[in-house]
Amino acid sequence: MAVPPDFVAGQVLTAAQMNSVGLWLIKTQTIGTAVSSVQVTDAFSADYQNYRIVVAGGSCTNDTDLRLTLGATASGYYYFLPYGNYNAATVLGVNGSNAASWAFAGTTGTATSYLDAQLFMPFEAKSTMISSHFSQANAAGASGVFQGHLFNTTSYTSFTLTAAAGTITGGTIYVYGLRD
Amino acid sequence: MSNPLIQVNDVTREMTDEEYEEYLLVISTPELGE
Repeated sequence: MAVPPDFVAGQVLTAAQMNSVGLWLIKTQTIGTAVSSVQVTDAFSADYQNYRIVVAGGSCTNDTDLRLTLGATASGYYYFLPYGNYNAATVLGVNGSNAASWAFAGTTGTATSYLDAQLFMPFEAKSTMISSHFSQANAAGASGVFQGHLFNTTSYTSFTLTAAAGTITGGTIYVYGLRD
Repeated sequence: MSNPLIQVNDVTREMTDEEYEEYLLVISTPELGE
């Protein structure tokens, strides 16, 4: 019998095979019209320690940053983003120390929204870590790798994405669990 | 004054005053690429 990732038509999958699926799509959410922020509830649970969040498509009235917060927490976010502008070979950086959000978790703009973040242990009663790509979808934009922590022991089930300026319309949020 | 719109799961509605205060805090830090 074929085993993952090779399957044959009509094959019955065993629990062991299904339990070996490494990345599980927990939920998707389509972003509405002209919203300043989007909250996704029931994203994190005891089922998974670590998660991947992807946002693609849609648009924003401004070319700007997509901020990520957990639960109702609006302080205690720490991050550093080494980045460069597409039109210069100079490395720049921006940091946040006890900030109100992970301010550069993703990007949004007139072309599309874009976020690809991995969150480590948001549901655990431990510090949560984020690692994501910051890559603006416009020629005058910038790109970098965003890393940070939220230093508290709060257990979270939800997250919110907020445009740093303007409003977002459309696009899809995908939440995946990484098999423990 | 009406508050900005927030989408909670698939439902779009106006932010409560408490949510709006939190929103103002979240967007108050510097931006890249503006």
